[in-house]
Amino acid sequence: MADNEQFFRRLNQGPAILFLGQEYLKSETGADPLLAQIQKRSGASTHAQGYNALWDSVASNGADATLSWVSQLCQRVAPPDQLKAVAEFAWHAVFSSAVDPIWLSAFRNDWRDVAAVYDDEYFPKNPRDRRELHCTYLFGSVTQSDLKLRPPLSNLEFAMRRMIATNLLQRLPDVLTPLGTLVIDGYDWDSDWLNLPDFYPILQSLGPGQVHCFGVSEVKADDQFLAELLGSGKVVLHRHTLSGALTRGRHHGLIKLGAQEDLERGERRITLRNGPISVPKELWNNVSRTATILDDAVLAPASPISDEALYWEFRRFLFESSSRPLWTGYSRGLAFQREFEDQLQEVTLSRLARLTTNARPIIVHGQTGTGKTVALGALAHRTAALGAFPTIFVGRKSQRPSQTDIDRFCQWFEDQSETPTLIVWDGMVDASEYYELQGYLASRGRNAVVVGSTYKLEDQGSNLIAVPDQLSSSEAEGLLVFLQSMHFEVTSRHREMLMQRDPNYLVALYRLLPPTRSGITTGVVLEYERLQDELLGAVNAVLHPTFAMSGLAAALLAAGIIDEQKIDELHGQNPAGINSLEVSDLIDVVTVPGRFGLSIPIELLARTCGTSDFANLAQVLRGFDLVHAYEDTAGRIVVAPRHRLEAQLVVQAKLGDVQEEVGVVCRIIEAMRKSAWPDENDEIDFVIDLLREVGPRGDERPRFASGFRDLASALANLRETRNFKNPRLMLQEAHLLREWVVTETWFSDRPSDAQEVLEKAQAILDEALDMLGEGRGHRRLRTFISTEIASALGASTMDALRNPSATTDEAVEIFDRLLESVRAARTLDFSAYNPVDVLAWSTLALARSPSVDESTRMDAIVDTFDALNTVDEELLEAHNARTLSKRKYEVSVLLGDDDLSEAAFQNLIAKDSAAGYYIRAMEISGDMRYFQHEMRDTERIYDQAWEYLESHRVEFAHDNRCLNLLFDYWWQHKTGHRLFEEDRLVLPFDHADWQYALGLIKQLRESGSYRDLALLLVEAIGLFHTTRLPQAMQLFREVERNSDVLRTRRRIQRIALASDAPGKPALYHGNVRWVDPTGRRGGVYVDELRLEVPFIPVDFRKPNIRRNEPLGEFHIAFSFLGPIADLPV
Amino acid sequence: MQPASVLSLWIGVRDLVDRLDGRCLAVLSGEPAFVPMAIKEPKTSPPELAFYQTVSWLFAYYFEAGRLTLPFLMELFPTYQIDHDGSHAVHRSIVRDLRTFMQHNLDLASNADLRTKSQCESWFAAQCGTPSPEDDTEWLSALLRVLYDSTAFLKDMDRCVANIEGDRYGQIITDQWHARLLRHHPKHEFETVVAQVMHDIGQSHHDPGQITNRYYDRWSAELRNWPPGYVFVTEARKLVEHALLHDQDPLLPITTSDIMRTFAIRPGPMVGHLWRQARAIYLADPASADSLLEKLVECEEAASRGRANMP
Repeated sequence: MADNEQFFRRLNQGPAILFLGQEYLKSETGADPLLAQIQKRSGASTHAQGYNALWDSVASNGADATLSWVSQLCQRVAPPDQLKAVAEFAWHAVFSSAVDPIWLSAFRNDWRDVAAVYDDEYFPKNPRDRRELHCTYLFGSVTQSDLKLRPPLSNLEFAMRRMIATNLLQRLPDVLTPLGTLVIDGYDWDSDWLNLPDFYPILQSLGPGQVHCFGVSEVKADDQFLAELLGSGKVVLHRHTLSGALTRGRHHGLIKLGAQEDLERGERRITLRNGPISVPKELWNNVSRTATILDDAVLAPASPISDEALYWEFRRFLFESSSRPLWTGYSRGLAFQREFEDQLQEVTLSRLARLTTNARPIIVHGQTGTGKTVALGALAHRTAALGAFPTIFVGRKSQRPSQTDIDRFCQWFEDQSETPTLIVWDGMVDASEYYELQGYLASRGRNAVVVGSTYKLEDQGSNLIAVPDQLSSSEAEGLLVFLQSMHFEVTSRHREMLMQRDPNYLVALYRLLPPTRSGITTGVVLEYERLQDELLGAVNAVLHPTFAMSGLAAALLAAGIIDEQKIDELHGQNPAGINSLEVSDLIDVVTVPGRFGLSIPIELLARTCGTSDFANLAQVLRGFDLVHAYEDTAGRIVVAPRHRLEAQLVVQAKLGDVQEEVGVVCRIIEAMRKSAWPDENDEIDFVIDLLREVGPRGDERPRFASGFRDLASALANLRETRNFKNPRLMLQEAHLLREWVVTETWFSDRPSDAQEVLEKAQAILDEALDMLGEGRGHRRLRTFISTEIASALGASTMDALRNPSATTDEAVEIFDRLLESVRAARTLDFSAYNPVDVLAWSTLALARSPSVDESTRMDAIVDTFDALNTVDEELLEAHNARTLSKRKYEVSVLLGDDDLSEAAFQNLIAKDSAAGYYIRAMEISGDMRYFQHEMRDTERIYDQAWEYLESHRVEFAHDNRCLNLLFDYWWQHKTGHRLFEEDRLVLPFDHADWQYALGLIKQLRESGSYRDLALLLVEAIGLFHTTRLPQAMQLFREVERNSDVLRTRRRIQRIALASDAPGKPALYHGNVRWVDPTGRRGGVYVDELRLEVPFIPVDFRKPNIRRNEPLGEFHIAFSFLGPIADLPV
Repeated sequence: MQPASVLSLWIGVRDLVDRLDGRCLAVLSGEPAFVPMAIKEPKTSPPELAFYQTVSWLFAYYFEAGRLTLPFLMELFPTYQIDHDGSHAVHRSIVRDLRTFMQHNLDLASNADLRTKSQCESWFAAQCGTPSPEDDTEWLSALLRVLYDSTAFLKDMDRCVANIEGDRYGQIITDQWHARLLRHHPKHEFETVVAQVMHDIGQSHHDPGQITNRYYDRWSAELRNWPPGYVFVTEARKLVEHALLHDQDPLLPITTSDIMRTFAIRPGPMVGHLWRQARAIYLADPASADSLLEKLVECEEAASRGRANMP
């Protein structure tokens, strides 16, 4: 039983991978019913062994007929009961040499989907996903007819397929990781298509005890491969069946079969006030890949445990809750509540109670170690427990939550219960990411509140909750009481320490507590001040064994920081032996990213440390509590320090020098592997997050600036020497190169190769864009890359102006290319602000240069005004909105206080530039004064400015900038508002006005506008008002199709109402055509228009309205989603 | 009230059960596919009583008499294009839930029981317009529905077996069916083995039925996973004797809390290991709590010295 206990411990720890051999069908009767039929058909005289008999059948019946016949046979064979028992376990992946679909069906059940992998060209994104189990057919499946996907049907095909099988098998160590266990069942190494010599290299690369082979009754003494594997302890043989072992393990309580708690919590049920709601499996599984749904099982009362176990749970809560929430810990009341949490809860609940599409997320910000993560976990737990709002929690990980999955989840709940959803995202990412998620959900019309966490912000706002750096005196008192309730003996010394009110005390608490409750009674408690020394001592103990044998080791032992067995292991007395250099390396590779709150994927860690000996890595991870490995819901295993504060401490003491830290990051980059999952993967996500921290956008930019070029070189090395080309990484490389030039130029001398470096950056970005191709896919990434190209060109422009050997013409030529890039980026996403800002700072540099001539200067300024004026200011987050105002001011003061002189105006016309008209119009309207003096009360006169521009329209017929301004001024003159500024704007346009607008839009489009979508919507509204309904509806559909680029509430905003010429909303009538079963949406036939438009029953306060009922009088509103019936106010 | 309609439906169900039994016997060359039913047939009125008894009878047929055969045949439904919408699986499952709902005291703090309650209430609401039927009309609606569904289910079962009969490769199916029936050992077979063991060890005063009831599910599951070709009497005897041995263990004078305190260890597998060690020591030499803990410490120290001396 002892051996089995170890086996089950390994299996529970995961990842658990099953290899199923071709003999599995024998488990029920002792004979393989499928093979028996195949052999029978091949003829009694066949000498073929095992499934090679298929080839004889093909010879007489042909390939297609044979495959179809075998498929039919398979339908008549039920999966053996034994396999069903095996399939009850929540495996992380299955590999099989069997070619039938029978085994696959055994793994499909109500909590798990299966996804078959037939060839080596398909790479699953989450290869260890227990909810969507990836089942790899090493030799293809008889259900497939394509040569690459079906089984080999001849000797020659078999030779080819073996190569694919080997490639597929090589993924196994990656999926398994150093911590995992490979379980082999139904495998006969003499007759299986996967023979032992082919399997051997894979098994040999694993650690001792990682492979368990079941149902082995005899072993050939002369089998060299097996002897070697058994001798090294890598393979453990079991005589009994796997199904028997699992069944027995379940009876002894050593293993759980069926859905694991974290896979199927209470049958995916969420109880809200109006009753329990079961969430569909697919929706649940999709959301659960990146988030935790707080369902009834999470909120269930924790099972009773002994005082010893409670103490240990508390310590575990302290250990792990900085990485991920332990929900049972919240249920048991193990989380200490800080005072800011009351405010957080109040703000969150009040936002949830207001059923609106909220524009701003709630953001909790503060220093590291102040309790944000525990507070967000508690917020999610408490809110879900109210039973009023469905709640999901997204932890800190490189893979961002899927916006579309969250959107579907929110919509599903709105349909079921009309309740808003709370999304708690403890991402510790830039605040803009929370704004983006909130905006995206708003653009879909979702009622959801996003709560996020980030580092300390300077901004203030009702949606920003600051976490105080210090504990208040009442918090310190509360903590004392709390600790006493956890059986912690609070001495006067501790009281004194607590009264210093350092919140880091909460982080340190784990190390202040002895590992068992009994330790408390013996008074083994470290003092807070000694803790840092002790922590570093623990690291030293690992690195310098002799030092560890000193009294310090004993103190650490007594304090529970390390245990006796660990000291033995770390001293190399353990037969497995751990190389202290490897451990040192491991600590570096985990703590450098860990000090930024990042967890490294275990495969990348192993490769960076260069250890092929996975066993050692696993041993260190299990034995040393400075770092820990954990698995997320999609089966990804990552390694993190216990707490980022501890990681900071270790990095400071152990590395100190920034170059060493950069060196570690470079090594991590160089250890990335192209193979496994090429497109998007955890390693790329992780490295990009790491580069964000140590790169130009990180908080420690000045410290790391000298390393930017080294980091870029590491990425270049990956790309150039290993052909590992990924557009996201290429974007990072170019960004680092540009920022290196900029930083060097600022803080020391201009690098002599600056232009060369910037050109290289542009070339990398051009290649990345080529890789992504055209079309709708990767639109955001293409926008980022286009913006970065513009930035590189901006830096180039500035460098050329500074470089004595470059001419002004060269700088202007680069600036013109920059304009094209900005235009390209805005065409991809006209709501993006960053390209505009790049244009603004580049223009400032160009316009301030004395060598640039006046007309070039004016043109550049007008280009920039045009861009700044067309930014949708209302949708910007606070930081960008402030930057926009600043840019408008900076650009406008370039023109000086005096109006444009006639001479300068004529000079521009002479140079074929329409910039003069633009500037004059802005002077007339008052916009220029407004921007120059930031005077909010400046009166702006749009009718005269529009008249001025209109009178010169012929002269600037092809100038997009002036046409944009003409359109905006006309719109403001007619409506009194900026485009899209107001909800439900009435449009006092007569037929002639609409004709004018449509003509202007046509002209704008011909001149190459990047405001296509907005203008298209206005055009559709115009066609609607000029009774060209079919064309209007077609255009509305086109706008809707393209509106996914809008990731803000602007997408669903009802921006205007169908109106008559005097400016009154038009009234319409009609009967309901349909209402969907949820009663959330419907369609109404509009009598006056003879067409159907959608309506929302709740808007009309008629949730139970039925088909054919009259809707009553209504307006028609327009949004980017098209026309919709709107209740008159 | 339409007692005639209930009666005719019930007679139909009985006929289908008999027909299915006969067809299975023929396909399996005389081997019974169902365990005989001992439960009394349900009354057909009043509707509430008839509903209770019908559900109980169907439960006994679906989950006891047909415990092995019905799920086996249901796995073949897709092969013969039966039950596209999965309604038969839903019917079988609701019969189980209804029986639990009506005959057990549900624990509403348990997720599983809550689920059962909500499934049954939804089912009643769909059949009789209320989650908890009160009058005869409501009960009759529910009764008719369960009988209609059962009729459809059994007809399709019969169709499935008829398909196997006519299938060119039906032999593959019947071989597997045979193999499963061979592995299925009803309670009375185990009870006989228990009685024999009791007698052999001189403890025939124990009730073999009580012991069999306690371990039946576990023993059945074990044998289902035995390699093919096992001898039932031998393997069952091993399982019975193993269970009896553990059943007769004396109470230990110490608890796992004592172990955690003594060794200053946290909850986990190590506690389990020492607990089993303590059991072995105590069985060999019963002692007081203190003395047992002392022996356990000595034993563990000796074991770690042994590990340290390993090359």
